[in-house]
Amino acid sequence: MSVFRIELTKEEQLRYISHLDYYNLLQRAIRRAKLPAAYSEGFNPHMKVSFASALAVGVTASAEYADVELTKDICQPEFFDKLSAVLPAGMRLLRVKKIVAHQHHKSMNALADMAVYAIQLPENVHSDAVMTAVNAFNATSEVLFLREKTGKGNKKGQVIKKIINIKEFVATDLQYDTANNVIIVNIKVSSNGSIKPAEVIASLQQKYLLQLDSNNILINRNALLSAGKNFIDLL
Amino acid sequence: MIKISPAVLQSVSKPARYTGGEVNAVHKDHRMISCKFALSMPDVYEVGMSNMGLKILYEILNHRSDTVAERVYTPWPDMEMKMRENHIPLYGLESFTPLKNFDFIGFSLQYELIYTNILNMLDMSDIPVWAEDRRDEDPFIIGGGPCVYNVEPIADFFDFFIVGEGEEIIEEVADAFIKWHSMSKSHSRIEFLHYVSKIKGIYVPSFYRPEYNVNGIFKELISLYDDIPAIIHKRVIKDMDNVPTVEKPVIPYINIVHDRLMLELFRGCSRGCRFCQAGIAYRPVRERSREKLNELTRIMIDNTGYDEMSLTSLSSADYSCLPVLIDDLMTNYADEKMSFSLPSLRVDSFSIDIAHKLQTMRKSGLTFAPEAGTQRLRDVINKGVTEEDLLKACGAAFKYGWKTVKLYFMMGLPTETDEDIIGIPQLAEKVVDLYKEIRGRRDVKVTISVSCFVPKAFTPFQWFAQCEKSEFERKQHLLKKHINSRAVQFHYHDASTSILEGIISRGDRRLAKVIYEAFKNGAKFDGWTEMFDFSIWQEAFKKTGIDPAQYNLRSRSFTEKLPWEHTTPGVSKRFLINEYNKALDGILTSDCRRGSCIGCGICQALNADVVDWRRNK
Repeated sequence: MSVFRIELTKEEQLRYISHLDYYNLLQRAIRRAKLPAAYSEGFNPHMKVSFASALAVGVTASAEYADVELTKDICQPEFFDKLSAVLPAGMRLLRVKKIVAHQHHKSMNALADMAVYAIQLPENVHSDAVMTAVNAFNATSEVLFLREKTGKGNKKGQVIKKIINIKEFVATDLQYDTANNVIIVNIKVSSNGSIKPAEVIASLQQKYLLQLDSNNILINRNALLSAGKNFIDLL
Repeated sequence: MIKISPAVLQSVSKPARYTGGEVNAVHKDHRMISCKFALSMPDVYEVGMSNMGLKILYEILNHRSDTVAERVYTPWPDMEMKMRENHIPLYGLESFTPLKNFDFIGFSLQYELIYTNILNMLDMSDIPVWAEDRRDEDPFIIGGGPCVYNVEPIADFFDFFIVGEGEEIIEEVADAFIKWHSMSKSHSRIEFLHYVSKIKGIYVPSFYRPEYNVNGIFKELISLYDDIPAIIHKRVIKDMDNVPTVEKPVIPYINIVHDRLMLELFRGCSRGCRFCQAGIAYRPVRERSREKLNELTRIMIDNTGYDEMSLTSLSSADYSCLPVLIDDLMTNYADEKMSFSLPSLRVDSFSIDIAHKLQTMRKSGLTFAPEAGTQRLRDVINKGVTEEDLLKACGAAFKYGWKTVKLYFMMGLPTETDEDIIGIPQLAEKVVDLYKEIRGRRDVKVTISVSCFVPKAFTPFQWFAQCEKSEFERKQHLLKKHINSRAVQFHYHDASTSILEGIISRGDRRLAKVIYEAFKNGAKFDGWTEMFDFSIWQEAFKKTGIDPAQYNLRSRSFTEKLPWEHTTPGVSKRFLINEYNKALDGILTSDCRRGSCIGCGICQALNADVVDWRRNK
């Protein structure tokens, strides 16, 4: 048995697929690569692949992380080459590191504490207006936002409303790169929940009356970190 | 090349329906290509991507270096709105080329309620919807699939149809086009239509003119040229082992309706259920060999990485090598954690044993189709299933631990009485009692799903009058009233979609006006309950002055010439009349697959034969 940690991309071609679809895509690629994947027991065996964090539909990522368990021990270059050869367009393998048996690894999900997002704004926004809104956002301690979700399970069909303070989940000041028209936001990730980058934009629109077409922004997750390190360097 | 902005994609549901680029999708440079096909199932991506026929044609066409095939499905109304707003025409999912720039747009005609989507898709492509309005530079609009056995209601929208199985003929059409294109000086539409009409199985509707009696009933179809066939027989593949098929299916990024591999065990079904059009349309039964199926399984799994495969056919349990094939699959793919399933089960304990062996079918409940509530009526439709068969099958399932069973029925069948309707819940309750008897518990769920019968062309019931809407509703109510057990759940649909299907499926060319009118008034995705608006159709009939009742509510006489008889699966009319009469007398007809010939005339008409490995031994 062996476990490999992989770092891979979710690029433009895959922007609109869900986390589950992305997971299925990787799983089928592992099968095409004929890597000796490990499966759970039972009627409905599942491939033992675990992701660090789920990514929303519409968001690309410079680096996603997954742990892949195999039934046999193979060498790192073999793993890398076999998987790289079969990945679909928009999914590139960047790095692979074998997790050594004595490295008792916690689930990445529990370790992740920060996500860095780059939000590309539409071409037609006024950069002065963005700057003003960003500065006001950074200056205050509280940005309340009404989150509406449609319920699942026994709350199906209901709209669940909750007021959250966006600032609680933002680790550092928003940075606005005027040359590229991009906002960088560092979002805290924890078991107490988190926020979506789109909610930061929505709060800029609502509280600071920033005018923009929210369907026309492009979000990328630049990094996912644990104590300031990415998950490959963490090993 | 069309570029769709994020502002459009991010404002619609499931944008991945429109972005292409899937694994195994074939991308070609159109400048190097002589013949360009856009293949379409006029339904939403998730449904269209599940269609087996288009997967086959996609691979066959793309295998040729001179031809390209791309996919296109119907945009969901939210996307349609955005595309129209932004003047984005419909495009092929591989190269984002506007449909207008293809040579052929091929529509798979799976059922009547998607016809308005076809018109809408042509409209979104800036291609004239009426064939006669198309100019030389427009693509040829072609159709194929099960609806070709009465294609008259949409004949005026199409340049030509392919009747029957497409594997060979689609290449003949591509060859003809390439040859004509290099030879022709005029490049006129009609010249190519004459050229392509020489291929067996091609129906060019504009070369024929229907005539009607003074009472408004169809009289006959007149051939307008001497060199075109009066009858177009369907094309049939004689050797299923040596015909190209799906080896490298496109793997969708998002979950689709049938998100698994499909292995086609055999084509055709000769059980002879008298209501069933597929049973006639796909005859004769032709099996693939066990060796070929094992080979295809390996190739498809290696090319896709799928972990699920469905063993498809009209009646998969009838495959003569099924037990050994399943042993092969279970042995060869145990380490790869493949799961296999059957799409339908026969009503017998053999099928239950197979389902048990496959394990995966454990997750879902079992589905059986007794089709009618009493033995008398099951004999009328030649279902060949007894109550004892059903109880034996359910008993075997309950012993293995299943506790949900779904039973499919139809209402509105010929000779049906209230007793037959009441027989449906009674049968369901016998199944409930059986469970209590075997398991000593009450935690069983029996779902009865009852659809409204639509008489179809080229079946023994093609002369029969469909029930009226109010009669269907009365029957649904009657059935509901007779359910006593809480373990029995009853599912049924609004009868009006079946009524519309009933009108179109035995309609004639005059219905094109109605379909056009409905499309103009916003009818789309009519097969989707939430999208269906019967009032648009009622209005369309009124406006065009066409009485729908003559199509669905009228009993036809055997002597009447029927508007669909010229595009035929090869069945003899005498056989169908004979079957109709036997139905009324409740006399069964046997299966010819391993027994003697029952004289349907199809093998003779098509010069084909049954391929069944058990019989052939």
